[in-house]
Amino acid sequence: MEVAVALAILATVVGLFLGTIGATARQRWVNRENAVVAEAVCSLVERMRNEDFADVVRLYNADPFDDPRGPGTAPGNAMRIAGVIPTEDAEAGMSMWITFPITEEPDGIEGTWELREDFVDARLGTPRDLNGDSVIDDLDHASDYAILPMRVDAAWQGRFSQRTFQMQTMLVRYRD
Amino acid sequence: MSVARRIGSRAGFTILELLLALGLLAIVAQKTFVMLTAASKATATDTSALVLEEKARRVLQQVAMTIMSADRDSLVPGVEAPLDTDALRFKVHLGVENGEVVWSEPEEIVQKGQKVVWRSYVATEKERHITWTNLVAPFLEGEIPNGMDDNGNGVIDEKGLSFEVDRSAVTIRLTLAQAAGEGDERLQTVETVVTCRNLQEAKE
Repeated sequence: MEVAVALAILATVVGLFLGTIGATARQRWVNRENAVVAEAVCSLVERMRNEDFADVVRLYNADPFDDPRGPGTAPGNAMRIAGVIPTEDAEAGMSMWITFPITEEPDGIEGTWELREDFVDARLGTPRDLNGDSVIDDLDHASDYAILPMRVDAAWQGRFSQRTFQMQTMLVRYRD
Repeated sequence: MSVARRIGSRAGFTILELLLALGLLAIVAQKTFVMLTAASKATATDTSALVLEEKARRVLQQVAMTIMSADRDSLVPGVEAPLDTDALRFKVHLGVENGEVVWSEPEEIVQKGQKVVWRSYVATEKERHITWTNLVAPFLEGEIPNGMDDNGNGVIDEKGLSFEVDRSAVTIRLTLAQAAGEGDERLQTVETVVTCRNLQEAKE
Protein backbone atom coordinates (compact mmCIF):
# COMPACT_ATOMS: atom_id res chain seq x y z
CA MET A 1 0.00 0.00 0.00
CA GLU A 2 2.72 2.45 1.03
CA VAL A 3 4.70 1.61 -2.09
CA ALA A 4 1.63 2.22 -4.27
CA VAL A 5 1.02 5.63 -2.67
CA ALA A 6 4.69 6.59 -3.07
CA LEU A 7 4.65 5.54 -6.72
CA ALA A 8 1.45 7.50 -7.36
CA ILE A 9 2.99 10.64 -5.81
CA LEU A 10 6.17 10.13 -7.78
CA ALA A 11 4.20 9.71 -11.02
CA THR A 12 2.22 12.87 -10.28
CA VAL A 13 5.38 14.87 -9.60
CA VAL A 14 7.06 13.59 -12.76
CA GLY A 15 3.88 14.36 -14.72
CA LEU A 16 3.73 17.92 -13.39
CA PHE A 17 7.42 18.42 -14.11
CA LEU A 18 7.09 17.19 -17.70
CA GLY A 19 3.93 19.27 -18.11
CA THR A 20 5.78 22.41 -17.04
CA ILE A 21 8.65 21.71 -19.43
CA GLY A 22 6.17 21.07 -22.24
CA ALA A 23 4.19 24.25 -21.51
CA THR A 24 7.39 26.34 -21.43
CA ALA A 25 8.53 24.91 -24.77
CA ARG A 26 5.07 25.52 -26.22
CA GLN A 27 5.07 29.12 -25.00
CA ARG A 28 8.48 29.69 -26.60
CA TRP A 29 7.09 28.56 -29.94
CA VAL A 30 4.03 30.74 -29.57
CA ASN A 31 6.28 33.73 -28.77
CA ARG A 32 8.46 32.91 -31.76
CA GLU A 33 5.46 32.77 -34.11
CA ASN A 34 4.13 36.05 -32.70
CA ALA A 35 7.52 37.71 -33.23
CA VAL A 36 7.80 36.48 -36.84
CA VAL A 37 4.30 37.66 -37.71
CA ALA A 38 4.58 40.99 -35.88
CA GLU A 39 7.88 41.62 -37.66
CA ALA A 40 6.29 40.85 -41.04
CA VAL A 41 3.34 43.15 -40.36
CA CYS A 42 5.58 46.01 -39.14
CA SER A 43 7.86 45.60 -42.18
CA LEU A 44 4.81 45.80 -44.43
CA VAL A 45 3.66 49.02 -42.78
CA GLU A 46 7.19 50.45 -43.13
CA ARG A 47 7.20 49.57 -46.85
CA MET A 48 3.87 51.34 -47.21
CA ARG A 49 5.29 54.42 -45.48
CA ASN A 50 8.09 54.42 -48.04
CA GLU A 51 5.68 54.84 -50.98
CA ASP A 52 4.21 58.08 -52.28
CA PHE A 53 1.29 58.64 -49.96
CA ALA A 54 -1.13 59.28 -52.84
CA ASP A 55 -0.28 55.89 -54.38
CA VAL A 56 -0.65 53.75 -51.26
CA VAL A 57 -4.27 52.74 -51.80
CA ARG A 58 -3.74 51.82 -55.45
CA LEU A 59 -0.58 49.87 -54.60
CA TYR A 60 -2.06 47.91 -51.72
CA ASN A 61 -5.70 47.35 -52.68
CA ALA A 62 -7.07 44.13 -54.15
CA ASP A 63 -7.54 45.59 -57.65
CA PRO A 64 -4.57 44.71 -59.90
CA PHE A 65 -5.81 46.90 -62.78
CA ASP A 66 -5.22 50.26 -61.09
CA ASP A 67 -1.58 49.73 -60.08
CA PRO A 68 0.41 52.98 -60.57
CA ARG A 69 3.23 51.26 -62.50
CA GLY A 70 0.94 49.14 -64.68
CA PRO A 71 -1.55 46.33 -64.10
CA GLY A 72 -0.32 43.62 -61.77
CA THR A 73 2.86 45.42 -60.72
CA ALA A 74 1.81 46.34 -57.19
CA PRO A 75 2.04 44.10 -54.10
CA GLY A 76 -1.76 44.01 -53.69
CA ASN A 77 -3.64 43.45 -50.46
CA ALA A 78 -2.52 39.88 -49.62
CA MET A 79 0.97 38.64 -48.81
CA ARG A 80 2.83 35.58 -47.64
CA ILE A 81 4.77 35.56 -44.38
CA ALA A 82 8.08 33.73 -44.53
CA GLY A 83 8.54 31.44 -41.54
CA VAL A 84 4.91 30.52 -40.83
CA ILE A 85 2.56 28.05 -42.48
CA PRO A 86 -0.57 29.48 -44.13
CA THR A 87 -3.90 28.10 -42.92
CA GLU A 88 -5.47 25.36 -45.04
CA ASP A 89 -8.23 27.65 -46.31
CA ALA A 90 -5.83 30.52 -47.15
CA GLU A 91 -6.16 31.71 -50.73
CA ALA A 92 -2.97 31.08 -52.74
CA GLY A 93 -0.98 30.52 -49.55
CA MET A 94 -1.38 34.09 -48.35
CA SER A 95 -1.06 34.79 -44.64
CA MET A 96 -1.79 38.50 -44.24
CA TRP A 97 -4.32 40.90 -45.69
CA ILE A 98 -4.71 44.66 -45.72
CA THR A 99 -8.08 46.32 -45.26
CA PHE A 100 -8.82 49.95 -46.19
CA PRO A 101 -12.19 51.68 -45.85
CA ILE A 102 -13.08 50.60 -49.38
CA THR A 103 -16.60 50.00 -50.62
CA GLU A 104 -16.69 47.42 -53.42
CA GLU A 105 -18.98 48.01 -56.39
CA PRO A 106 -20.73 51.07 -54.93
CA ASP A 107 -22.98 51.47 -57.97
CA GLY A 108 -23.31 47.78 -58.67
CA ILE A 109 -20.68 47.92 -61.43
CA GLU A 110 -18.38 44.91 -61.29
CA GLY A 111 -14.73 45.60 -60.52
CA THR A 112 -15.25 49.15 -59.19
CA TRP A 113 -14.40 50.41 -55.71
CA GLU A 114 -14.36 53.68 -53.77
CA LEU A 115 -12.38 54.86 -50.75
CA ARG A 116 -15.22 56.11 -48.60
CA GLU A 117 -15.51 58.24 -45.49
CA ASP A 118 -18.89 56.64 -44.66
CA PHE A 119 -17.44 53.12 -44.59
CA VAL A 120 -18.53 51.62 -41.29
CA ASP A 121 -15.86 49.66 -39.43
CA ALA A 122 -15.26 50.33 -35.75
CA ARG A 123 -11.81 48.73 -35.89
CA LEU A 124 -10.75 51.15 -38.65
CA GLY A 125 -12.28 54.05 -36.76
CA THR A 126 -14.64 54.86 -39.61
CA PRO A 127 -16.86 56.68 -40.59
CA ARG A 128 -14.23 59.42 -40.57
CA ASP A 129 -13.21 62.54 -42.49
CA LEU A 130 -10.40 61.30 -44.74
CA ASN A 131 -9.60 64.41 -46.77
CA GLY A 132 -9.66 66.99 -43.99
CA ASP A 133 -12.64 69.06 -45.21
CA SER A 134 -14.48 68.49 -41.91
CA VAL A 135 -17.33 66.69 -43.67
CA ILE A 136 -18.06 62.97 -43.78
CA ASP A 137 -19.62 62.38 -47.17
CA ASP A 138 -20.40 59.49 -49.49
CA LEU A 139 -17.90 60.37 -52.23
CA ASP A 140 -14.80 58.55 -53.46
CA HIS A 141 -11.66 59.92 -51.79
CA ALA A 142 -9.08 57.68 -53.46
CA SER A 143 -7.44 60.73 -55.03
CA ASP A 144 -7.57 63.24 -52.17
CA TYR A 145 -7.26 61.35 -48.90
CA ALA A 146 -5.06 62.96 -46.26
CA ILE A 147 -5.33 60.20 -43.67
CA LEU A 148 -5.65 56.53 -44.43
CA PRO A 149 -6.94 54.15 -41.76
CA MET A 150 -5.83 50.58 -42.37
CA ARG A 151 -5.85 47.20 -40.76
CA VAL A 152 -3.56 44.23 -41.30
CA ASP A 153 -4.91 40.78 -40.43
CA ALA A 154 -2.69 37.73 -40.29
CA ALA A 155 -3.73 34.10 -39.91
CA TRP A 156 -1.47 31.10 -39.88
CA GLN A 157 -1.27 27.47 -38.85
CA GLY A 158 0.72 27.55 -35.65
CA ARG A 159 2.64 24.59 -34.31
CA PHE A 160 -0.14 23.84 -31.86
CA SER A 161 -3.22 25.58 -33.23
CA GLN A 162 -4.49 28.02 -35.83
CA ARG A 163 -3.56 31.56 -34.80
CA THR A 164 -4.39 35.12 -35.78
CA PHE A 165 -2.86 38.58 -35.37
CA GLN A 166 -4.30 41.98 -36.12
CA MET A 167 -2.88 45.49 -36.29
CA GLN A 168 -4.79 48.72 -36.84
CA THR A 169 -2.93 51.88 -37.77
CA MET A 170 -3.26 55.02 -39.82
CA LEU A 171 -1.01 56.49 -42.49
CA VAL A 172 -0.98 60.28 -42.70
CA ARG A 173 0.18 62.72 -45.35
CA TYR A 174 2.55 64.89 -43.34
CA ARG A 175 4.23 66.85 -46.11
CA ASP A 176 3.40 67.92 -49.66
CA MET B 1 1.65 -23.43 17.83
CA SER B 2 5.19 -24.45 16.86
CA VAL B 3 7.78 -21.90 15.66
CA ALA B 4 8.13 -23.63 12.30
CA ARG B 5 4.41 -23.35 11.65
CA ARG B 6 4.34 -19.63 12.58
CA ILE B 7 7.17 -18.89 10.16
CA GLY B 8 5.54 -20.90 7.36
CA SER B 9 2.26 -18.90 7.72
CA ARG B 10 3.90 -15.44 7.08
CA ALA B 11 2.92 -13.73 3.83
CA GLY B 12 5.89 -12.65 1.60
CA PHE B 13 7.58 -12.78 -1.79
CA THR B 14 9.61 -15.59 -3.19
CA ILE B 15 13.05 -14.84 -4.58
CA LEU B 16 11.67 -15.49 -8.08
CA GLU B 17 8.95 -12.86 -7.63
CA LEU B 18 11.47 -10.31 -6.41
CA LEU B 19 13.82 -10.97 -9.33
CA LEU B 20 10.94 -10.68 -11.80
CA ALA B 21 9.80 -7.40 -10.26
CA LEU B 22 13.33 -6.00 -10.27
CA GLY B 23 13.82 -7.07 -13.88
CA LEU B 24 10.58 -5.36 -14.98
CA LEU B 25 11.50 -2.25 -12.99
CA ALA B 26 14.91 -2.14 -14.65
CA ILE B 27 13.36 -2.42 -18.13
CA VAL B 28 10.79 0.32 -17.40
CA ALA B 29 13.46 2.56 -15.85
CA GLN B 30 15.76 2.08 -18.84
CA LYS B 31 12.98 2.87 -21.36
CA THR B 32 11.94 5.93 -19.34
CA PHE B 33 15.54 7.12 -19.19
CA VAL B 34 15.98 6.72 -22.97
CA MET B 35 12.70 8.56 -23.59
CA LEU B 36 13.57 11.41 -21.22
CA THR B 37 17.07 11.73 -22.69
CA ALA B 38 15.68 11.95 -26.24
CA ALA B 39 12.98 14.42 -25.18
CA SER B 40 15.47 16.53 -23.28
CA LYS B 41 17.89 16.56 -26.26
CA ALA B 42 15.10 17.58 -28.63
CA THR B 43 13.92 20.29 -26.24
CA ALA B 44 17.48 21.57 -25.80
CA THR B 45 17.96 21.76 -29.60
CA ASP B 46 14.64 23.57 -30.03
CA THR B 47 15.42 25.91 -27.15
CA SER B 48 18.90 26.76 -28.46
CA ALA B 49 17.46 27.58 -31.89
CA LEU B 50 14.76 29.74 -30.35
CA VAL B 51 17.20 31.51 -28.03
CA LEU B 52 19.48 32.27 -30.98
CA GLU B 53 16.52 33.62 -32.93
CA GLU B 54 15.51 35.79 -29.96
CA LYS B 55 19.07 37.15 -29.79
CA ALA B 56 18.98 37.90 -33.51
CA ARG B 57 15.64 39.71 -33.19
CA ARG B 58 16.93 41.77 -30.27
CA VAL B 59 19.96 42.94 -32.25
CA LEU B 60 17.79 43.56 -35.30
CA GLN B 61 15.42 45.71 -33.25
CA GLN B 62 18.35 47.67 -31.83
CA VAL B 63 19.68 48.34 -35.33
CA ALA B 64 16.21 49.18 -36.66
CA MET B 65 15.36 51.61 -33.86
CA THR B 66 18.66 53.43 -34.34
CA ILE B 67 18.19 53.78 -38.10
CA MET B 68 14.58 54.87 -37.63
CA SER B 69 15.72 58.13 -36.08
CA ALA B 70 18.30 58.78 -38.80
CA ASP B 71 18.22 61.53 -41.39
CA ARG B 72 17.56 59.80 -44.73
CA ASP B 73 19.94 62.05 -46.60
CA SER B 74 22.76 61.31 -44.18
CA LEU B 75 22.78 57.57 -44.97
CA VAL B 76 26.15 56.56 -46.41
CA PRO B 77 26.33 54.60 -48.60
CA GLY B 78 22.81 54.75 -50.04
CA VAL B 79 23.01 51.48 -51.95
CA GLU B 80 20.04 49.82 -53.62
CA ALA B 81 19.59 46.12 -54.54
CA PRO B 82 21.36 44.16 -55.97
CA LEU B 83 24.05 46.03 -54.03
CA ASP B 84 24.16 46.15 -50.28
CA THR B 85 26.51 47.20 -47.52
CA ASP B 86 27.61 45.83 -44.18
CA ALA B 87 28.30 49.30 -42.77
CA LEU B 88 25.85 52.16 -42.66
CA ARG B 89 26.77 55.66 -41.52
CA PHE B 90 24.13 58.24 -40.58
CA LYS B 91 23.17 61.16 -38.35
CA VAL B 92 20.30 61.02 -35.91
CA HIS B 93 17.92 63.69 -34.69
CA LEU B 94 18.82 64.74 -31.13
CA GLY B 95 16.14 67.35 -30.52
CA VAL B 96 15.40 71.00 -31.16
CA GLU B 97 17.39 73.93 -29.75
CA ASN B 98 16.44 77.57 -30.38
CA GLY B 99 14.10 76.43 -33.13
CA GLU B 100 16.86 74.50 -34.90
CA VAL B 101 17.01 70.74 -35.30
CA VAL B 102 20.11 69.38 -33.62
CA TRP B 103 21.80 66.51 -35.46
CA SER B 104 24.28 64.09 -33.97
CA GLU B 105 27.86 63.55 -35.03
CA PRO B 106 28.08 60.70 -37.55
CA GLU B 107 27.15 57.28 -36.19
CA GLU B 108 27.78 53.94 -37.83
CA ILE B 109 26.52 50.38 -37.55
CA VAL B 110 29.01 47.99 -39.00
CA GLN B 111 29.89 44.30 -39.16
CA LYS B 112 33.44 43.72 -37.95
CA GLY B 113 34.30 40.05 -38.20
CA GLN B 114 31.73 38.28 -36.06
CA LYS B 115 30.60 41.47 -34.35
CA VAL B 116 27.91 44.05 -34.96
CA VAL B 117 29.39 47.28 -33.70
CA TRP B 118 27.66 50.61 -33.15
CA ARG B 119 30.09 53.52 -33.40
CA SER B 120 29.25 57.03 -32.33
CA TYR B 121 31.23 60.26 -32.90
CA VAL B 122 32.78 58.48 -35.88
CA ALA B 123 36.18 59.86 -36.93
CA THR B 124 36.35 62.25 -33.98
CA GLU B 125 38.36 62.20 -30.76
CA LYS B 126 35.29 61.15 -28.80
CA GLU B 127 34.68 58.07 -30.97
CA ARG B 128 33.37 55.07 -29.01
CA HIS B 129 32.28 51.56 -29.92
CA ILE B 130 29.63 49.29 -28.49
CA THR B 131 29.38 45.65 -29.57
CA TRP B 132 25.79 44.51 -29.92
CA THR B 133 26.58 40.89 -30.71
CA ASN B 134 29.58 38.74 -31.51
CA LEU B 135 27.75 35.92 -33.25
CA VAL B 136 27.38 37.29 -36.77
CA ALA B 137 27.97 34.84 -39.62
CA PRO B 138 30.49 35.87 -42.30
CA PHE B 139 27.75 35.77 -44.95
CA LEU B 140 23.98 35.78 -44.84
CA GLU B 141 22.39 32.34 -44.60
CA GLY B 142 22.44 30.60 -47.99
CA GLU B 143 24.92 33.02 -49.51
CA ILE B 144 28.46 32.22 -50.64
CA PRO B 145 30.94 34.71 -52.08
CA ASN B 146 30.62 33.89 -55.78
CA GLY B 147 29.19 37.03 -57.35
CA MET B 148 25.68 35.50 -57.49
CA ASP B 149 22.45 35.80 -55.54
CA ASP B 150 22.50 32.31 -53.98
CA ASN B 151 19.66 32.77 -51.49
CA GLY B 152 17.31 34.51 -53.92
CA ASN B 153 16.72 37.69 -51.93
CA GLY B 154 17.80 39.98 -54.77
CA VAL B 155 21.15 40.90 -53.23
CA ILE B 156 24.54 39.53 -54.25
CA ASP B 157 27.15 38.19 -51.78
CA GLU B 158 25.65 39.95 -48.77
CA LYS B 159 27.49 39.72 -45.47
CA GLY B 160 26.01 38.45 -42.20
CA LEU B 161 24.77 41.99 -41.55
CA SER B 162 23.35 43.59 -44.66
CA PHE B 163 21.75 46.96 -45.34
CA GLU B 164 19.86 47.75 -48.52
CA VAL B 165 18.49 51.26 -48.99
CA ASP B 166 15.40 52.03 -51.06
CA ARG B 167 14.47 55.72 -50.88
CA SER B 168 13.63 56.24 -47.18
CA ALA B 169 13.42 52.54 -46.32
CA VAL B 170 16.30 50.41 -45.16
CA THR B 171 16.05 46.62 -45.34
CA ILE B 172 18.16 45.06 -42.60
CA ARG B 173 19.14 41.40 -42.75
CA LEU B 174 21.10 39.57 -40.08
CA THR B 175 22.36 36.00 -39.72
CA LEU B 176 23.70 34.81 -36.39
CA ALA B 177 25.77 31.62 -36.19
CA GLN B 178 26.41 29.47 -33.15
CA ALA B 179 28.24 26.17 -32.69
CA ALA B 180 25.75 23.33 -32.27
CA GLY B 181 28.18 20.59 -31.19
CA GLU B 182 29.95 17.91 -33.23
CA GLY B 183 31.26 20.47 -35.70
CA ASP B 184 27.77 21.64 -36.66
CA GLU B 185 26.74 25.25 -36.82
CA ARG B 186 23.29 26.64 -36.11
CA LEU B 187 22.20 29.66 -38.19
CA GLN B 188 19.32 32.05 -37.60
CA THR B 189 18.37 34.75 -40.06
CA VAL B 190 16.04 37.64 -39.41
CA GLU B 191 15.01 40.55 -41.58
CA THR B 192 13.10 43.76 -41.18
CA VAL B 193 12.36 46.99 -43.01
CA VAL B 194 12.46 50.36 -41.33
CA THR B 195 11.79 53.84 -42.68
CA CYS B 196 13.94 56.78 -41.68
CA ARG B 197 11.63 59.13 -39.81
CA ASN B 198 13.72 62.25 -40.32
CA LEU B 199 14.19 63.86 -43.69
CA GLN B 200 16.43 66.54 -45.12
CA GLU B 201 13.71 69.22 -45.27
CA ALA B 202 13.33 68.99 -41.52
CA LYS B 203 16.77 70.59 -41.29
CA GLU B 204 15.79 73.65 -43.27
